[in-house]
Amino acid sequence: MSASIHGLPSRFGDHDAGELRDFCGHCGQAPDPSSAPVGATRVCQHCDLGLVLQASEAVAPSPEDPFLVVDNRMAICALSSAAEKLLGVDETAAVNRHLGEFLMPADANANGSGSLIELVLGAAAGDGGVERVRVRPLGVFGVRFSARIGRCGPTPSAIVVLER
Amino acid sequence: MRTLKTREAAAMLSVSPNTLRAWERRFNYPRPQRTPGQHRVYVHAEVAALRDALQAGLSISSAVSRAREALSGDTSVLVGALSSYELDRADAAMEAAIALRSVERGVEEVLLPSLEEIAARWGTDSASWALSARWADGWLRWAHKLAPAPTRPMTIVIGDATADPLEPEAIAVRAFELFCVRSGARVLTLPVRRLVDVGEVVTAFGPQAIVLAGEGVGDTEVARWAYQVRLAVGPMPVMLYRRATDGDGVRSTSALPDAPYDAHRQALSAAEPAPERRTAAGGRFTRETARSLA
Repeated sequence: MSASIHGLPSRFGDHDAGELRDFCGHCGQAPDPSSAPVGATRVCQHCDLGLVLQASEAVAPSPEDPFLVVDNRMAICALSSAAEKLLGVDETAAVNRHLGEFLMPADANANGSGSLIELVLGAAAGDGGVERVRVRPLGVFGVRFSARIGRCGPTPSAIVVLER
Repeated sequence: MRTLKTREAAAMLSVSPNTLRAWERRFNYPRPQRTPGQHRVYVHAEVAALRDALQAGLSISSAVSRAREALSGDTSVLVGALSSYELDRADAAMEAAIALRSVERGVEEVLLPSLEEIAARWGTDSASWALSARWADGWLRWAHKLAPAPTRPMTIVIGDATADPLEPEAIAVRAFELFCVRSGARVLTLPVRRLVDVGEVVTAFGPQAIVLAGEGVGDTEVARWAYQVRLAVGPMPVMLYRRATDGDGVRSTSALPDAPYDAHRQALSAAEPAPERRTAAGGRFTRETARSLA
């Protein structure tokens, strides 16, 4: 696994989810490997509006993927530009709000092990691997997404990537 | 208060000046102030708080939120001091607030929000509110006294139409007045209910703009006052601050924003004499020049 995020010491820690990949939490682009480490702030040099994050190759989003980053209180910490468009909310308005204000399990009966909340909390707590769940935007019926959920860093958190 | 130029702030955050301006547009943070030459200057404490928050942040939005939270502690301290009637502690809280910010930001981000919270908690008819409002009024007047001497060839007359010096609007008007003075303008505040000799007094100051502030006095009285002033000094911009309606008798031209900082910038801009309107004698805009232009 890589030991750093774009030249910075990683606090993400070792785990068995495979190779780690860096990406911007706003535009989803991978940092330019030829650019010098960006220093303490990890600011994306493509869009200037996101921080470089890290997730396993299996869960890391590609630039066009809508995704959300959620902490262990289920509060949204980052929202990609594609997710802003998909959910109709700006990141600045979504940050610190509960994930449940935007997404809910597509299966109304899914409240036990394997539910959206449990998977997100598990990933934010450091569970390895990638889980999948069906979700829908809150208050929207007939629209469902497959979401992959995994661990994200450097600060322990979960990433929810919506697959269209 | 320590401030940073754009390049210094950008270097502290390891970003480019363009990125800093992009953040200002998207996140409204860090929010620069402007020098008299209109250059951006950033408050060091804001930039430092953002730098710290970015280190563990997952997005710039969340880091901005954390940085704002870190700086908002002063409001809690001031609300606590005023709620427990400890005015010395309130003074200390404001002193701490303006050690990290400009006076303008301290007033807008700490003093006024704290008073709003006191009003929401106790109501503006309570003794707790009266104590807090009197303290705030005293603090603003103290800051006014410490303001530097006027540096701009500009005088603004404020027609004070507040009904009570302890009403929330009156505190905002005091803040607006303070900001104008600190920007180098000369400010003359007169209650709109005092009509006798108002023309003579105002003429002596040669104002460039009139601001009618507060809505505690009816339109008729305000219109009568404004008429007397304009009769004495000639036509000039008239603006409304914290006054909801444009009364029938007042031919006002614009309403200023509620936030005193934005309002004072707009008022100064409206009062700024155009170069061709400056007189040969030091740019002063007197009754005679106003009349000659009328």
